[in-house]
Amino acid sequence: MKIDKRLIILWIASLTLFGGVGVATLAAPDWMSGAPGWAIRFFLGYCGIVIVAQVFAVMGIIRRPEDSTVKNSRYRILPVLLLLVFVGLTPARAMQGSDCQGCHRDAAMVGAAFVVNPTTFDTTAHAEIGCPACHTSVGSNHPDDGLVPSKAGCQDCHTEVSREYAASSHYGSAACHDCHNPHQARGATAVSGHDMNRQCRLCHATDAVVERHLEWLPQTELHIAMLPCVSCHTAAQDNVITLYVVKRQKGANIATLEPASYVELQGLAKGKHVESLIDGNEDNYISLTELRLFNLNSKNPLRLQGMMTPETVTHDFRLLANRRDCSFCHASGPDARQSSFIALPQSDGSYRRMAVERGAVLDALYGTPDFYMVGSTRSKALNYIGAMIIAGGLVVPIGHGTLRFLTRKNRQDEKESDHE
Amino acid sequence: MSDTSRIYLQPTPIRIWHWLNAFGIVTLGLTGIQIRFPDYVNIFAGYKTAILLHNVAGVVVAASFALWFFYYSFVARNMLKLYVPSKDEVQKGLLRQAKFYLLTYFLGRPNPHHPTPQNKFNPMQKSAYLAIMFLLMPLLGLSGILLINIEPMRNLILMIGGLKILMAIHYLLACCLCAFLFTHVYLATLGRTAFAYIKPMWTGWEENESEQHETLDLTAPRPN
Amino acid sequence: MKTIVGIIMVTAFLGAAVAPAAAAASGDGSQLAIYIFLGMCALIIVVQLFPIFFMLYGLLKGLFHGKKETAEAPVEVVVDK
Repeated sequence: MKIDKRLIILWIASLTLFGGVGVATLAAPDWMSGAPGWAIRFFLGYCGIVIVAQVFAVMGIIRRPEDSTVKNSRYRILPVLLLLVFVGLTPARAMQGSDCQGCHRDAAMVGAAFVVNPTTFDTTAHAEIGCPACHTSVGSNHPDDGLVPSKAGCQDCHTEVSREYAASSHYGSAACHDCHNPHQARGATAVSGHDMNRQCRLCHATDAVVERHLEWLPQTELHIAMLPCVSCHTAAQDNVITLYVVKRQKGANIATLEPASYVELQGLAKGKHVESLIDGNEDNYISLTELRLFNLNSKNPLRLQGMMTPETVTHDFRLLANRRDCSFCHASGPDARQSSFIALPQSDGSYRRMAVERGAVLDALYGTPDFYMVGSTRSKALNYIGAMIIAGGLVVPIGHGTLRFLTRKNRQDEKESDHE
Repeated sequence: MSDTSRIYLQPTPIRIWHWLNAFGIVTLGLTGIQIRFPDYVNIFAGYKTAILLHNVAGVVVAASFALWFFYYSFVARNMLKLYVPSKDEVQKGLLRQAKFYLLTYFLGRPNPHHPTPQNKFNPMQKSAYLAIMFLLMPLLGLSGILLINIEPMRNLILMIGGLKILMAIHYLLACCLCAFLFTHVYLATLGRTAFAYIKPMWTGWEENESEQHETLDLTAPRPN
Repeated sequence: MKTIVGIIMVTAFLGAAVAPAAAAASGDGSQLAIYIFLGMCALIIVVQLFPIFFMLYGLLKGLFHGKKETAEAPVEVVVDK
């Protein structure tokens, strides 16, 4: 049996390409999404067919190409069959998320309950492990197999958190997914304080919460509006000041200020990054100068709203006695409230933080004009001005008093003359 | 001691207003210090006590301000006469009074101003009280009311420029009032005796300066 | 007349002051400080109103004991403004 030299070259080249692209696809599953993914699949299929065909050719099953009878060969359909098998198998192997989203991004295809918004999901930590990591039972025949897809338990990965949560007062009243949508879950610093509280409000209506806290908490409404509940009701730690951009909703003068959405900010940024609205020099760092410019711009419909947010969150929901002591947050002095951030909404629904120059919350007027934490964000400059005013008031008692003491004899004479 | 030697200078509502103010403003000052500097000052046990006491004292002082305002504008109806200095007072009276405080007082001469119910204050007092009662106190009280109701009045606060600016206004005005307080208390002791000016504020009756003194019977019933 | 107006005004203003204060002070130890403060305020008002009580007492005494005692009732000698 004689093997054509050209066939061997073709065989090795095809094998290399097939293996190379296959390995690359496995290493970077992202490639398999969308149109490029289909191109790669066709290419892999083509290579596969060529390889198999070569093998057959080598084994002499298929006659030489110059043999005209090949046209009538029953093996002629073999490449087509192989192609179909290959293309059919590829999605099963590459069910790495993108294939799921082919259908699950569209409510019309899967129904509103099963939609996973790809923009929101793709940047979560869960997207990194991919859909099949949690939905293991979903096979190539999904959804035709009629099987209900399996869901991994949160505790399978988040063991420590579940143990902590099991001991909390929430346990039994709310399951993980009652507060966290696994397709949207993010770390504590990538979620806005308002969004954190939105989960709480699903069960705890604001009015009822305010009423409960009225019993002991001064400035109740303010505290409820400006703090994430978890700051006090879990052992969350390392509180910092996070500034959010809020906007008065159009057409209402008395309307409350709502956090500005990504779309609104994008409109105002006029084609630039939303960050450029504050971060003028786009260095990912907000200096006091940039803050003042932002705050003093009278045409700016945006304002900064400060919240005290925890850097690390915990899940041990309970009533912490020390949070009832105002000094836990308020009496720590200015040193404790030096670090602050500005968090801006992103297209995927998360928030991106930029560090703000130290001491911005202590700036007398235009660092954070609408944020003040009594007892801990006082401005040093104002302290001095106030002290000077009071010292000015003391000039009269001290100065006049001294002269009065020195000249007391004059008035004693006067009094005595009165009596005489 | 005859009744004619004394004049009834301070009517009951004004005395109540004055001493509520005095007690309230001192409380406000002390709690205010603790509220601003909790890491250094702890006069009242606990930060919350200081905050609540500050709020309550603020409301009491605001209410007593309203008492003052309504009494003078609707019952006595001599508010403007008492508090707005006349042209003559501005031109000559101020200088004369300043001269007394800065010079003739030390030489032992009497005060050129003699208070009457219709003209209680000397020209310097008039100008100072005009600024304090019609500018400083209302602004301080309003900023305080806004600070008690931050969330419901957020829009109003934003119109002023924000919470921190409101805070700065409240703090600086309070410092001004505190500075005035030292002067006020000191000048109140400048009478013939240290208590000569303070006593009428408590009893309502001022003794005529040319009369013999120290014979006032505090418990004697007197008309209002 | 002015006395009565004064009493009504003081009662009204004190009531207005105490109501929110009492609402704010509930729950823990901080209420004690507030009650002490309000107590002091009330004391100031009551002490300042003493002369009026005495005068009313004198009037009542005058009413019950006839003309003899009315001579002792204080007489308003100076214009009250």
